[in-house]
Amino acid sequence: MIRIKDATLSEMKIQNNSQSDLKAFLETLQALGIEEQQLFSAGELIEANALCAAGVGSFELRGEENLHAILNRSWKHYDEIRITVSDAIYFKDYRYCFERLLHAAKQQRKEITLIVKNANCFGVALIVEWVLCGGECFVAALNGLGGYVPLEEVLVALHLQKTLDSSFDLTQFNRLKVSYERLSGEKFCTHKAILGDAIFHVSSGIHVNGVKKDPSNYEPFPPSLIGAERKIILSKYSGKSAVLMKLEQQGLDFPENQLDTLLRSVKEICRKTGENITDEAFEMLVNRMKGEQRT
Amino acid sequence: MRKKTAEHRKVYLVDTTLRDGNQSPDCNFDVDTKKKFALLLDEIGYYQIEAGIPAAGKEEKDFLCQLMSEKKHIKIATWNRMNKQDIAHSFDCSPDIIHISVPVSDNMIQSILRKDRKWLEAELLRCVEYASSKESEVSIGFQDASRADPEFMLALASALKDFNICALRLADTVGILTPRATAELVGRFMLETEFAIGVHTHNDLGMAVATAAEAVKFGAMFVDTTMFGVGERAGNCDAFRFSHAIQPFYHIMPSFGNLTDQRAQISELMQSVCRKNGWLTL
Repeated sequence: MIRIKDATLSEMKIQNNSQSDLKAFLETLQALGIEEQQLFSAGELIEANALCAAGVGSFELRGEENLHAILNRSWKHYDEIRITVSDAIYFKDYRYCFERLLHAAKQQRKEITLIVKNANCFGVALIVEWVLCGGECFVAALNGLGGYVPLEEVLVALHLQKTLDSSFDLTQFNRLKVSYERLSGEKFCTHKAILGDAIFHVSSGIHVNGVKKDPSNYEPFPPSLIGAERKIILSKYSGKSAVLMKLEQQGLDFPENQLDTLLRSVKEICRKTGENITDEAFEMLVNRMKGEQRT
Repeated sequence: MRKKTAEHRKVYLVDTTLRDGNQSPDCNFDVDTKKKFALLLDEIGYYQIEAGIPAAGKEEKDFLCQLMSEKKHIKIATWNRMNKQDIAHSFDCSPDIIHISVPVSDNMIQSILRKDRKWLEAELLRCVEYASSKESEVSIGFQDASRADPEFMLALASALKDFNICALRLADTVGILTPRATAELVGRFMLETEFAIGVHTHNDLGMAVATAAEAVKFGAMFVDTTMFGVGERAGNCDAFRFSHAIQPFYHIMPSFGNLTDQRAQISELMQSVCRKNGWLTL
């Protein structure tokens, strides 16, 4: 059973110190399936003496070169083992290291928590492999705060690997994002994996056509999984499918034999302005063209 | 280009900012910026750039023709759907490389093409023969390779073995590959085909850089990247992050130094055409 120690609050610079926002954030995290908060900072995480006093054995794994030194240490005085790795381990035989560590943990009836410092963007991949090797516990933080593995990316990746049980409710992510942005005063990048506002925006003719026929063609998971929605954006690369879907989405009627003219106008506006056409501007264009046809 | 020489441990970045990156609703390259961008990559020492889709229209074709006449060393590739009409549009631009994208997963074959595997193989051979009839090199991309049947893909690759294909690209179209799945997929193609293998990864689960690096570990020679990872949804493999991560271990083209020397200029160009706050490092 997967257990995640969330480090978001220990790493977040809280801008809005409202008790109710903080409470809402914690409640949403819990509803998501996160039971445990990591309430001390990254500096303390690698402070071995402090952790030792708390019954935690903390080791830094650099690869096969120090794996045996970790395995040969006595773990019996510890309640929990923490293994910290830099993601540079990705170019070593990390799977062998993970398997050996997990085997030792099983024999000694200890739990290992994996902490990956995500400097080179290998963190999610390493955590996924950790879980596929049999690991159950790791540290993550929303939006990758503090250099930890992004909670949202690793949870959805594990969901797609069918390694999460039903106690995780990923539809809470959209609420969690709102709560996070309120507390931290920081917005997620619009194309941030999983939680960016624009990741389910589709515009190019090829993609809209594929999504129209079957959304899974160009989506790794349905937006509803994380409580989000898909949106068609009209741009200079849009095709007839996009215009048709947009008309349908906005509840607008337009004669089918005039669709090519409408598409040309949309592309021309986008080309001239260098921007995508907004829903309001599209509605105005449709109404104007319908008016012109009547006269 | 065939694999299995020492030269092949070089890893070539293939920039697809102007094709896949530009398909994001939040990137709006005008012709002038596209040209500046492509010529800058030529100067940096990129081996190849996927510069556009000729079938998109006259403006795109005019840009590609102009680029072909002004570029120096960089190879210009055009992206095509698997049909003769798209390829004919590419002929009009006389690119260095005609890239044909082939949807290989059963889902795409059935729902997008509304055809079957048998038709796909026949059409692929017809298109490759047609594309090979001019002077351009031909590369093939297996779209949605991460969700396709490996046996079917290998059978397609086998059917292509008598053509002079310069690269075979495996695309993780929706960004779902894990490292071990990447290793298995790329490993099989390296073992069972003679083609130079390329990969095209997406960042939907935050693993675009990791899966591209895993593919390189198992022998991939070409890696598609975009500047700052711009692209549809959560974007593509970020050229800077990927280069930074693998440069201690592999000889990459262009070199990490050349790329970072021009970072400010690339960033300025990208900021003029991409939405602010879209991608973290932009």
